[in-house]
Amino acid sequence: MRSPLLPALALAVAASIFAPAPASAQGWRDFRVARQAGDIESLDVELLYGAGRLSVEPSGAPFLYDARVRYDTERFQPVRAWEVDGGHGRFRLALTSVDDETSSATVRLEDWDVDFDLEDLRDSGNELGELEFELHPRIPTRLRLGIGAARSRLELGGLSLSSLEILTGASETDLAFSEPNRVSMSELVLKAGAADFEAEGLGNARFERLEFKGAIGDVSLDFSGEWTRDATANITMGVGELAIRIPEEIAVRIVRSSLLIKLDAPGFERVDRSYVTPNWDTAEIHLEIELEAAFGTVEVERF
Amino acid sequence: MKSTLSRGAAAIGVAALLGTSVVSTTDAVAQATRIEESAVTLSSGSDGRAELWVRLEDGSEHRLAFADGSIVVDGGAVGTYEPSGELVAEWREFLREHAGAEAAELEEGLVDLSERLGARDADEEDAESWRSLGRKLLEILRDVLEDDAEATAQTGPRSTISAPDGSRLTIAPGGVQLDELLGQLDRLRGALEQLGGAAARSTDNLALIVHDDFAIGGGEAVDGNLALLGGELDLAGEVRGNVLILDGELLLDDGARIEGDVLQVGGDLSLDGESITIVGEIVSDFPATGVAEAPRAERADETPVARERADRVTRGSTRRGPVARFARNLGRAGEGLMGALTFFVTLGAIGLLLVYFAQSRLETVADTVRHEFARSFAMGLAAEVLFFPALIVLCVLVITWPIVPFFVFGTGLALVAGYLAVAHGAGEMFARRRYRYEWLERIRRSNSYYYMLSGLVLLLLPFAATAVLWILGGTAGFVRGIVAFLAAVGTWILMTAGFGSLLLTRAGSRSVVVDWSDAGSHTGAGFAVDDFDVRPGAGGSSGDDHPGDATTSDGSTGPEGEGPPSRGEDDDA
Repeated sequence: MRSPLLPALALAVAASIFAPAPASAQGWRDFRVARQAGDIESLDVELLYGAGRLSVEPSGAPFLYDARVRYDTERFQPVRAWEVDGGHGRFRLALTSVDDETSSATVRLEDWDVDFDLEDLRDSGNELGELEFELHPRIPTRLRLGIGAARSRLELGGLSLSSLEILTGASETDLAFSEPNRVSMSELVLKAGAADFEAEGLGNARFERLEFKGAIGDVSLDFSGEWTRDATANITMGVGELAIRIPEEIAVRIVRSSLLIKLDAPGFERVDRSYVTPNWDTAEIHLEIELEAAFGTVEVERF
Repeated sequence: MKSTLSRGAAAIGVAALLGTSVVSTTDAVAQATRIEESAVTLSSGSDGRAELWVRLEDGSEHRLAFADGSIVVDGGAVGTYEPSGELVAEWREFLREHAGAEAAELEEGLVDLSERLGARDADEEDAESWRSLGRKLLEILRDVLEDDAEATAQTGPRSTISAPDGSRLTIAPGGVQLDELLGQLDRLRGALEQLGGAAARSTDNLALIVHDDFAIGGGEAVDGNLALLGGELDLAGEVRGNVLILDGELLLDDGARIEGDVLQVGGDLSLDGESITIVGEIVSDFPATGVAEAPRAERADETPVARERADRVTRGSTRRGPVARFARNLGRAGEGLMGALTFFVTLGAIGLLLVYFAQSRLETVADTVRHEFARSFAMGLAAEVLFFPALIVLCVLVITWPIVPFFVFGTGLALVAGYLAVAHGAGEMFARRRYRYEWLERIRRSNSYYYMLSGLVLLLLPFAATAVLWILGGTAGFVRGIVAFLAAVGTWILMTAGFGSLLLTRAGSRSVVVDWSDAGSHTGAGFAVDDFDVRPGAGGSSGDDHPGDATTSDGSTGPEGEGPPSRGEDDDA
């Protein structure tokens, strides 16, 4: 099934790109939406953010979610939806364009034709707004993030994420699990476009299956953390550099599916098309990585 | 606050709010009243009569009496009490303390008493009677409390009015300027429309409007939506609807409960109490402050998460700061440039040797690439495609095994030689062009050594550019990827063409260049391509010439004139 995040994200990013620049600070507003946990036992969250700065982290207060958005009314409007089915809640938040033309449903991901530089984002001060999003640490949550041209700092350690999907466009994303995820994560899906993507502490995510798809850019995947189970990872790179860091105690097998990858994996033993760590038969935790890349360099470091 | 809204005027005013009519506020203001006279009656015994009588400045009289288990206010029973219970004991104690007291002292005492009564927990004995008495006291003391409203938040009086639709609506504290109230409610309604959805309709079901300091004690409830237009609202009770905040501050105390949403379009919201319940959402939306003058303090890289990450960097984590990242990028750029330089030096050395020992052949191959690029590329591509089948054949035929290393090495050498021939051709093209810029004119030379080196610079330039783009870090990743990809593809295409040209010319031993303009007279079919090497100076390139000092035929140095110098002129020593 095609992810509904894609067209929505395209919409949000297109809105952020095509919308006119803010004329003054008078149109800036602070929007906040929060909800107490109440009787909610599990939660789905979908967050779409086109352009600006984004941070996601656990909530200190007893809120199920707490979103604070600074936005320009001349370009955006926050849209949210909340549904409850028994003890399961579903929350969606997006910044959509106020311009009817750019919010047309015909704008698709592949229609992006933007002259956009991440450096512009850095120099634009506050002009592209920001979103700070907090989640309840103990409510099992399926989290989906659609991030357009944004700088993202995602501190997801200590949350209870049962699944996580992050789709980024032309963004700079830092993902971290500085503390162990409180529940087992069935699936961790990361899709990065023309992006810099850094993930740290993926071992704390407690994922069963990781899927990473990167188009163009620099990617760093750090698998440190408190591992509790075997896991698999399917990593696909387009053009760029991929750096993978894995703790020594984790047994790793890398299956390379493309001849065009320059793979640098010191400490691994080559068996056919696979690269295996010497502790494969003795280690408690195993990580199997299937690696595909069109053109690029992959560095695997054990520490 | 000296002016108050009378009940009748308030009712008309609210009717105006609800769209029925608009009234002038001039007649809606009355003067405040105070206690003018009071009397206390206390019968002996716990079941005896305990009565307070007061007359206010406006002439109205009120009587509050505990007698025979009933609480009677102005002739009507408002509750019951246990003869030995806390309620009657407290009442009698109050009367004893305030018998003969000054009016101001009595007013203050009644205010305190009303607070204690209102704060009584619902599950305690006689709780309903306590609250009923408290409410009656509030109604009697409404005007008194309005004068004291600016002091502190308290369980104050309210003006309860009937809306045209029959619903009850209360304004608290009781006194308010009608026009001010109308204006604030209009602002509230407009601001709520910004939130969209049902929020904008929340003003249609207002049960209580708070416009100044006020308190809703534990056990008290508001049936419907509550609007806070100003002041400090101390909420410990329950609101069975939405709370709308236009201005002021909402303080949620221990045990506060809001059945609906908290919709904030201004003011402040404090959630410091314990066991606070908000069933709906907390939504706020109002103009950002200090956007233009001072960007919000917490940028994404200054949030607690970012700071935590920065701490980890200082603790030796692998994460890099901006300086470290730039240094890393600079290192990568240097590494890439060194790689390109190494290739240049290596290939340049081989190329110079080729020029020295086989200049004529090299020039033949280079000319063929330049003039017959498509043919050369097609030939090279075909050869590359056939390479592996040929290698397999050589491997399968055991007798040919000794040839295999030579075949592989020779192919590799041919690819390199072809690439160098292309470099030579590119350098020659560069040298033969005329440029607008003087410095370009100065640096160009006309000899094969120069062609080779300058051509290599041109061919390796995209790789150097890719390396330089590392300085920009990940932000230029897309451009860098594109440049690297184009450089790789371009190199393959040129190398294939050079390889094909090498094969076509049999390692430069024969020329296959056709000048079709001169070949027009050769209309017959079946001619050999060798016959058509009619380029200027072609006849002089058959031998293994050694390059000289690039002297032109007329003795001058370097290119001159409009046309390119001929090969014979340039290269013959």
